[in-house]
Amino acid sequence: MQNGKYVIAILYVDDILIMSGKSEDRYWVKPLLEDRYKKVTSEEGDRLPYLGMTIVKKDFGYELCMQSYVDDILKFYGKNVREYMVPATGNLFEVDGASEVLSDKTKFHSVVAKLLYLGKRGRPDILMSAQLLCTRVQAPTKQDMTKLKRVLEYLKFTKGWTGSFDRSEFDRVTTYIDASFSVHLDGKGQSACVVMLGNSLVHEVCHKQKIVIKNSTEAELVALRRACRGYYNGIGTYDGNGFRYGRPSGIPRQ
Amino acid sequence: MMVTDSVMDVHQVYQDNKSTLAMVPTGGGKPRTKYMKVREEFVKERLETWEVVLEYISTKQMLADLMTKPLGGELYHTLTHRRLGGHQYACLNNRGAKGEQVSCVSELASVSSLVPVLAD
Repeated sequence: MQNGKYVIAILYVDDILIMSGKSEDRYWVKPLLEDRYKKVTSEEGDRLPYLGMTIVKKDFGYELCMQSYVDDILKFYGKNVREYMVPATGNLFEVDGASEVLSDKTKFHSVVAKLLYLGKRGRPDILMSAQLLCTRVQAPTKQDMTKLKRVLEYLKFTKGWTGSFDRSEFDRVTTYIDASFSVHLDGKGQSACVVMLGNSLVHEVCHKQKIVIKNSTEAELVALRRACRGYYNGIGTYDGNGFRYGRPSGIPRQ
Repeated sequence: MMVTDSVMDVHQVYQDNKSTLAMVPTGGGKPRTKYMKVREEFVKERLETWEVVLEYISTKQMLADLMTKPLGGELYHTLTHRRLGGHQYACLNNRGAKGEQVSCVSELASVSSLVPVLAD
């Protein structure tokens, strides 16, 4: 930072996101890259398409829209899709052993993988269904196909939904941890962890627990332990951006 | 957003299980296996160094509840909208699962009211 001007460059595999306070502050970066790599493609503006997502700048912050990606998924399924307001029915965790195994797994795999990507990016509301379907890819049955269809029917109803990142209260991190006991077929529980930065969701985990436990209190403890570890992974990235964690005043570090 | 060397607030962790909340800070309970004892001690250590602060929250405000069981109806939509940032009331169109009026839509206008009040 110099004279109140700053440029932030974020590198992701082979892409660079460049941000600055005023737009003219960052114009020197592109010629510099062109000198070195000859051909550089770039996009600029309040609307950035990237890997199926569209990042739109709004007055409250940013919005992550994945509507075209959802449309893409729905094409797989055909036109006559009903609409539902919830992605899963009560029997989501139930596995019917007598159900017939699908003859063509490829389509199932393809849609489930797309749903997982969608769930981890702009639409966390379908993450639990996607995660569960991912555990069924080895021998998907007709029952799993019904569950998958239900998610698609939900997506059709809510395809305009976007994830938004609110600029306000960006200095407050809250984590919500919950677990349910013995919901899976093998007696294991399900943990979930949601990390919010202010009013926006930044990180979330939802998975089948790794160990078999005895009661719901232990299930919550297992989830809690997992989330305390996640604290280092998820929040540590903010250290690099100039944020640092403090503790309430008057409480000494032990 | 201006990025400065700002000090963030303490990392708040919300739980909806009162017995876990009572058990972990005191190191109580009867963990019958090594695996549970280790987990309990790990969390206790994080609490002692103030890296996290544990607090109780009611199940109705628990955002992670959505990902542990299939929810439905009003509770599902209230929590989902809070997670997605709460800027899509218009899309909901005031329709319930069976076409009934969803009352949570009007309440969602004041998303901040759902945010639990932090202790000083």
